[in-house]
Amino acid sequence: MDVINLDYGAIGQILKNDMRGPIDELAAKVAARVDVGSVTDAEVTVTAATTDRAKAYVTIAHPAGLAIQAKYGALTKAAASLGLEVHGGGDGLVDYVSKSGRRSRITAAQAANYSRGRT
Amino acid sequence: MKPLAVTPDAERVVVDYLIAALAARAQDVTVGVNVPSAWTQGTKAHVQVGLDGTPVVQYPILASASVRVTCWHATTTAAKALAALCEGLLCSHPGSAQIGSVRSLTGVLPTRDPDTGAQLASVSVRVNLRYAVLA
Repeated sequence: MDVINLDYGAIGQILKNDMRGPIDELAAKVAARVDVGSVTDAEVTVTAATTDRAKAYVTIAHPAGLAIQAKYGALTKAAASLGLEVHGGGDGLVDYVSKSGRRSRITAAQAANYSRGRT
Repeated sequence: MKPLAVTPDAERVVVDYLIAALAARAQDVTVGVNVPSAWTQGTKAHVQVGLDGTPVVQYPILASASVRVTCWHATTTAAKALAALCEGLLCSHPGSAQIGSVRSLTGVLPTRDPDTGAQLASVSVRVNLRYAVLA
């Protein structure tokens, strides 16, 4: 029987390193399209982050930022204009590595349960 | 050859649906696409519907519109409850000639409007719009 072995380490490196540029580029495009309207002192920032993959946060860094989004949809409109759909964060799963080194995606509650007594 | 078809106005169909559905649940609110910039504590609660874009289009079958529903209320508790009700009403939409289905995108998010002092709570949903073929 043929067996396909996925190289998770290499896939992880692609998500973290090779995707860094495209993610930052797209986030900059979204940020450039955010229209903060009359709140002219509102700064739109892009923050790079890495979890199990490259990420970028686009933020209206202003006390009225949330209200600008709620009233005018400034961030969602900017994202949608680039074909992106904004939805709730993540799938709620976390990375878990078993004692034998096997990596899997499970819920936080499962991970806490499996990790009991381990340091 | 593909037929000539158009999508309905997402804001219009959501506003019409919410007016009827909220009235059926005895909610004394106004519903519209307007931003009530003259809102005061004495103003009736307002449900603001906004189309933020249509990121997915599968012509001439379906278009997925991102629709934001922002509730304006005197207290944050009432605003969040109204937003949650709107989310529930939309996500349980039975389907119609215009709307295929509605899915949740982001849950209730509260904030305060610094311009009017209103308490806001918003949700966003994906409205899957059905194309209508034109004769």
